Amino acid sequence: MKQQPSEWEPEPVGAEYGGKWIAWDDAAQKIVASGATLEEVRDQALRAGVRLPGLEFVPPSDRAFVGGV
Amino acid sequence: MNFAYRRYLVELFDGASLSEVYRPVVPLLVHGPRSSLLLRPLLDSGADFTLLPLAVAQTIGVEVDTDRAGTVGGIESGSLVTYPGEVGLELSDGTQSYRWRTTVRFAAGNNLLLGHLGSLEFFTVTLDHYARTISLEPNVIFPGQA
Repeated sequence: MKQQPSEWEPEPVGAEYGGKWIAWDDAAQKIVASGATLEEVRDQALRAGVRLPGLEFVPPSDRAFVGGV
Repeated sequence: MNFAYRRYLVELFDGASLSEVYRPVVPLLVHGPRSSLLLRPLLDSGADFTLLPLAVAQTIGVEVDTDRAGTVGGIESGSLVTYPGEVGLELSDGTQSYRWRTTVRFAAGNNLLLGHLGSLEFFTVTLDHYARTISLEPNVIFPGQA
């Protein structure tokens, strides 16, 4: 028996974040910071009160993504 | 452990409209001698090993081994010089948690890939795109602690 898709979903990552680092809040529900480097995004998130920001680099959003390098 | 796929808005093929795509991105705690970072790498079943930015090594205090540099490549001609470094990795879905020590590769740039050697090789991984769930269960060679 296949599982049904989950109804729980955080906000989608918008195209405007393509090619940037983003930081998620502690519940991994909302993007609280974005920028060019991991360090600046982490600092923004910590200053915003996030205890342990989830850091992610979003691949460019003007094309499909099929791998790293 | 179970995780949900994450949703992204991307221009796919026509260059004009945005489409939703779902990607298997998981929360990964990376522990170093100085500090820890919570990263959200792509779980990449085609990656030979875990690849992280050098900025991560610098932030958490991991000394990379520059004597063991190695070049890696993707499907096309691009390549990256990578360096090994020892870290602690931890996966947790809030209910279960698994932590182990391993060697990952670091490189300049922004690649965040959770690959096989030292990481996925220790788990049975199920990617269920329809249910939008990712399941990782430790296997018999998992070297760490639950």
